[in-house]
Amino acid sequence: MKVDDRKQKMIKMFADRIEGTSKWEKAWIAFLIILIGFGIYAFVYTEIHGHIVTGMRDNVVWGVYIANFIFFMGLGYAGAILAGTLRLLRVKWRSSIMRIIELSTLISVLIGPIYILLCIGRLDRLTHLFTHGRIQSPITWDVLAVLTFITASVIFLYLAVIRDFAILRDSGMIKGKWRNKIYKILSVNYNDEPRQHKDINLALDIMAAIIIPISVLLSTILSWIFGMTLRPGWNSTIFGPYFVFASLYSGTALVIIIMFIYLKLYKLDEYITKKHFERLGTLLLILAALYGYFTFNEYFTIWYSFEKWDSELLIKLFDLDQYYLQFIFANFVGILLPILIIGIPWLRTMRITLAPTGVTIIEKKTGASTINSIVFSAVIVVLALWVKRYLIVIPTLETPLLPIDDLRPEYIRYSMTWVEWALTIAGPAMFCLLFTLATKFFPIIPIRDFDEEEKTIENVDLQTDQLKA
Amino acid sequence: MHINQNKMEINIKSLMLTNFRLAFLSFIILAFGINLKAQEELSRTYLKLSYTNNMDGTKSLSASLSYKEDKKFVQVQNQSLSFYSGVDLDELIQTVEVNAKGEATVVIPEGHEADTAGIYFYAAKFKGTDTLKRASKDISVKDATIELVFNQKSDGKTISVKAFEVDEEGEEVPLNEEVVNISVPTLFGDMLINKAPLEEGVCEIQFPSNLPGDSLGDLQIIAKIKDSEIYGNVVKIEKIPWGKPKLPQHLESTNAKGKLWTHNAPFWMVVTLVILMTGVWSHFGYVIYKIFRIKKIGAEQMK
Repeated sequence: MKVDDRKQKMIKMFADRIEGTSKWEKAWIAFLIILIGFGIYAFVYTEIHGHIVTGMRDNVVWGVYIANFIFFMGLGYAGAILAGTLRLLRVKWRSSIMRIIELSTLISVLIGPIYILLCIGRLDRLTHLFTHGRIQSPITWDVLAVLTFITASVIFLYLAVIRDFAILRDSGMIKGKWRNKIYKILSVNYNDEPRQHKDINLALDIMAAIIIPISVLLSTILSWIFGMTLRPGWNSTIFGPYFVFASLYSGTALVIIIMFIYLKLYKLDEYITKKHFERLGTLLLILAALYGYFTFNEYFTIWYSFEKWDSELLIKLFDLDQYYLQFIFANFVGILLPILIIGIPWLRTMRITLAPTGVTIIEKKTGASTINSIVFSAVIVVLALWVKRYLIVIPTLETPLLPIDDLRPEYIRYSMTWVEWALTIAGPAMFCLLFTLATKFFPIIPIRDFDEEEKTIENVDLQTDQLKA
Repeated sequence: MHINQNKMEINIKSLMLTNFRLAFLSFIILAFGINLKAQEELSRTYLKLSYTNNMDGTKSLSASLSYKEDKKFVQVQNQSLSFYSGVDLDELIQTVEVNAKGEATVVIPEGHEADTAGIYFYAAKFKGTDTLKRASKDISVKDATIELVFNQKSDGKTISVKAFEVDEEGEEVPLNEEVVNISVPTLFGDMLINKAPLEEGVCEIQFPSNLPGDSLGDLQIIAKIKDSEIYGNVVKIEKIPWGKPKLPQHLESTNAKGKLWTHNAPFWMVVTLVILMTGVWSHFGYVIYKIFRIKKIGAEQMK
C-alpha cells in the first residue's frame, strides 16, 4: 500500500507516542492501575464479606453501580449514534474526531456491564441470565442488547482501523517486531485494491446504518428496565426518548472533553480545530434544549398530578437535607449552564483573568476562550448526567410502595460506602487506561480518512478555481 | 471602744456565718435543682408484655419498649430486656436485645412450673438508661387449650371451636366470654376471616370456600384467643385442604399461554425478537464475510 508524504508526516507525528512511553505517561498509567487495583480490592472484599459492605439494603437493592452502568452505556450509545450519523451523512470534517468517538463507544460499553456484575449478589448464578432468562423480561432484552451492541462496536471500530493498520504495516516507520506482526495480522492483507476499498466502505456503511437504530433501541430498552416498573419516578411513557437524548447529551460532552485532552496532549491543532468544537458545541446546545424539554415534561407532569407515591419522591428530591442540591445541579445547572455558555456568544467568548490586585477582570477574547467555554460546559454536562442517573435510581428505591420493615437508618437512606466509591472511581480510571493504551497502538487521528478528507477538500477547491477561471 | 470592737467582730463573724449558710443553702438548692432537672430529663419508658401459648408445645413472651417524644411513641432500640418467671419473678429466663422496632421475644423453656392454681407468673424488666427510666411489667396467665373440628356440608364450611382450661383435679373447664378469631396467613400478616364469642367453651364459625390455597389447595387455619386477661394469647394452627389450588397448575392451564407471566412468552414477542436479532446478527455476519473477502483479495493480489 502506497504511503505518501502526507501520511508519512502523520505517522511521524504519532510514531514517538506509539513506540515509546514517556515518564509522565508511565506515571499516569501507574496512577490509573493503582485506582483500578483499589477497585479490584474492593470487589474481592465484597465477594468475601458479601454485599453488606455496600450501602445497598432491602429497599435500595440497586445502588450507585446501576447509575454507573446507565452512565457508561449512555456514553457508548451516544458515541455509536454520533459516529454512525457522521459517516452516513458524509460529514466532511468528521475524520479527525471519528477515532475518538469510536474508541469512547467501545470502551464505555465494555466498562458499563461490569457494574451489572458488581450488582449481582450471586455471581455463580450469572449463567442463569441465559439459561433461565424469560423473553418477557426487560432484563433479558438488556442482556441480549448489550451483547449485540458490544459486538457491533468491536466490528465498527475494527473496520475503521483496518486501513490505518495497513498504512502502519507498509510505512515501516513504526519499530517493534511484535507490533508490526500484529499490524500485519489485523490489516487482513488490505492493499487499497479497488475491490477491497469498495468492500470496506460498504461494510462501514452497513455498520453505521445498523448501529444507529441498535443504539436508539438499546438506550430505550435500558430505560424500559425502569419505565416498565410501577415505581414513582420510573413508570413513564417518555423514558425511552428521554434516555436516548440523555445518552446523546452526555456522550457528545464526553467526546468534546476527550478532543480537548488530545488536542492539548498531542498538539493536534492541525487536525482538531475550533471548528470541531463549535460544531459539537452547537450539537450540545441543541441536545441541552431537547433534554431540558424532556426533563421539564417528566417532572412537571408528576408535580402537577401529585399522586401519593410520586409526591413522596418529589418531596425527597426537593428536600434540602436529601437530594435538593443534586437535583438542582443535575436538572438546572447541567442544562441551563451549557445553554447559556454556548448559546450566548458573549459568554462563550469571554475570558476571566485575575489581575495582580485580585480583582476579576472580564476580557473578550475569541479562539481558545471559545474552546475552553465549550469544554467547561461539557465537563458540567458529564458530571450532571452522572448525578442525574444517581437520582433516577436511588430516591425511587428509597420510596417503596410497601412500608419499610427494617427501620435502621441505613435501610431507610442509601449512602455509598468506600467499596462503592472505589469501584465507581475504578470505572473512569479503566476508561482512561484503555483509551491511553489504545492510542499507544494506533493513531488517535485516522490517517487514511483524514488523508481522504484533505484530498476531497483539495479537489473541491480545484474545481471551484476551474469554474472561476 | 474595746467593747465596740468586740461587737463589730461578732457582727462580722455573724454576717460571715450567715453568708456562709446562705451560700451553702444556695449550693444545696442549686445542686438539688440540677439533680431535679436531671431527673426531669429522664423519659418515661412504656413496657408492654404479652404471653402466647402456641398449642404446639411452645410458649413465648413478647415485649415492646417505647417512650414518648413530642407526644408520639418512639421505639427504644439496642437495649437489653430481661424476662423472668416464678411466683417471686426471680427466675431469669433470658436477657435479649430489642430489635429496631423495640420488640423482643423469648421462647419459654420447659421447667417453669405454675403455682397450685395453675397460674404462671412472668415479668419483663428494663434497667433504664441515662435518658430512659427503668420499667418492669408482670403478668399472670393460665394455660388454655383450643380444639378445632372442620365441618364440610352442602351449604358451606364451618369450624367448630372448643376451648377449655384444665383445673387442679384434671377436669376440663370450658372458657366463657372469650372471642375466637379465625384467620389465614398472608404475605404481610394474618387475614381475619371470622370471629365468634365462646359460649360454654364452644362456638361455630363460618368459613368461605373461595380462598386460594397452596399448589395442593392446602390452607393454614389460625384459631386465636387474643390478648385475654386470663390466658394471654392462645393460638392453634391447623392445615386443611379447603383452599383453591393455585400455580403452577393454573399457569400451565390452556387458558394461560403466551402471557407476560407464563413460561411461554407471547407469540408476537418471540417473533419480534427473532426478527430483530436475526436481522442485526445477519448484518454482522455479512460484514465479517466482507472482512474475510478483503483478506482473500489481498492474498490473491500478493500472489
